Amino acid sequence: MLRILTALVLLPLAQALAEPTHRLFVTNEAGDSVTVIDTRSGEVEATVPVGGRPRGIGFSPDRKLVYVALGNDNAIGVVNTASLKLERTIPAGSDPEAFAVHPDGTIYLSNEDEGLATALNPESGEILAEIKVGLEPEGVGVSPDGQQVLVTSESSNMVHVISVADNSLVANILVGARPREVAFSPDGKHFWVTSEVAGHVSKVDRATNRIVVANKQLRRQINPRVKPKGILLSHDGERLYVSMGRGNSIAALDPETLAVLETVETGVRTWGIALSRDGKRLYAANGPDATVSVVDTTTMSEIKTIPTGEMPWGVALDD
Amino acid sequence: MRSYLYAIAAASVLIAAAPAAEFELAYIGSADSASLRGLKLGIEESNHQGAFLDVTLTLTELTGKAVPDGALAVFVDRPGSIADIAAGAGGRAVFNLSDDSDALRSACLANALHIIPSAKMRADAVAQWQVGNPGSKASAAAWHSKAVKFAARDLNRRYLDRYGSPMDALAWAGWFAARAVGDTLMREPASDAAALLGALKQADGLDGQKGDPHSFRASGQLRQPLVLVGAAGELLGEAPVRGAQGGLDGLGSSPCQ
Repeated sequence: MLRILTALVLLPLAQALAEPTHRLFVTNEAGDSVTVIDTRSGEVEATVPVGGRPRGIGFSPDRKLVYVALGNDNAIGVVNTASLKLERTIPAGSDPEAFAVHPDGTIYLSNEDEGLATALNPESGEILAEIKVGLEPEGVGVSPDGQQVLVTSESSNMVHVISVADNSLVANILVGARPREVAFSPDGKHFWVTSEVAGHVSKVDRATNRIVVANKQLRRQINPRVKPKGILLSHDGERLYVSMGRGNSIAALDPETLAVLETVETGVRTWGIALSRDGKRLYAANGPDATVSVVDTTTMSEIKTIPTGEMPWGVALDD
Repeated sequence: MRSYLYAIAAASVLIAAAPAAEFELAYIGSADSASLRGLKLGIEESNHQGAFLDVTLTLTELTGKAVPDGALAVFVDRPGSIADIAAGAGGRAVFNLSDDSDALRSACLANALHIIPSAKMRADAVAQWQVGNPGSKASAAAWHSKAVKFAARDLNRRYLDRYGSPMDALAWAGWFAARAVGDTLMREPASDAAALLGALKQADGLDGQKGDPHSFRASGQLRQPLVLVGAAGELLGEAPVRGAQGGLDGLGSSPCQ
């Protein structure tokens, strides 16, 4: 009962978004820092030291806080979106890599070296659940209705489907080798998943938990070094943007057929991606280049590169 | 009352979903070898994956060369004996974990899959490295215990945690063979030995935790990146070396003879 009341109270709060700062936050995996970029000027505004090996990044539901997964510190770092202060770190189990934030505020994260998914209440610091998944869990996604969480296991080649109600596994879906990230359709009927080593992007029907279409020819269609990693759907649902890792590019795919519509060359090892609210700008982290690419999606061209710290990994945009 | 109990039993079977599948595999070689340690870790990691899919792999360690009828594939660490064992394996996939003979690759045996790189692959990797590093005393190998790029860090840590000793190339070969079989069987659980061999030969995205996808050449040799190792055993880099021609097949292709 208390939980239900809490949810009722939290939900209206979650919708009271803070004023956007128009800042892009970039985790620097080897720099132990977060680069803060003012997207209106395209200039670096600050570099915030956060701790060991920051990779996954995301906002609290009200966007007042930026969370970063600190793999080497076994913690989630909490940065104030407005003041840019590292407010605190929350113990998060061993080697947290990536996470997604549920609309109720719970952080669902992957513990890469423990084969676990963890549900963490960032306010109390309480670990609400630990769910055993495959080896090297990585990408995490919360379904649009908040009822399921997906976790990919990179070395076990599966997407695990977890029920939020009781933290149980409801399905384990084999996909191409080294699944990295997931993205949902807004109606919740499908999700897409990238498979880095196989070179695939697959579309999964959530009613049956089966792959309905997969593009396994991306290396032939784009270039032989393609390794699909980051994935997100355009706001109009017309384009699926996929970063290609060592393929040094981002592709726009047809979300239905997964056919390649357009590609844009970016930097070396294009990894995490974020899309502006107006849908016109894509931001992508290029690890060894230590840059962020700014892509104009209307022309699919790179219009700027911005320097970051060492080995940028993930990006999150507060606009 | 009795029929009521039966109904409960039937319901619980239905809830258990897919029927459990168990596959037997066999190993021929020393009982104390790095390849066997890697193989066992690969079987354990396949069973971790299989636990979510009701699939189990078992490994039988053989003392002779006679392969049990039920075994779907055979892993072998016995240099000089691969052709002989492959000929007697009844068409099963025979994984060569340790013999680097180029002639064995050129023989293009129908059921031999060579996980360890051939001598020519290693020589080509060293030659690529020496173009940019003349005079360097380098050697090449399938694996290095200090490799961290891609997901090598994770696998090295798991092996070290499991055995307390660092993972070498033979251990990697055993691990990879078991994971290649495991991942293939998870996808095609009804496979017989011939179907498994066919699926392995067709697989084009096997994950060796070395970045690029691994696959088998017509010779049965595994396409894979290699590591370059210095005179003191230190990790120097990776092959194919950046800028070298031919991609993974720039390393020791052996035409069938």
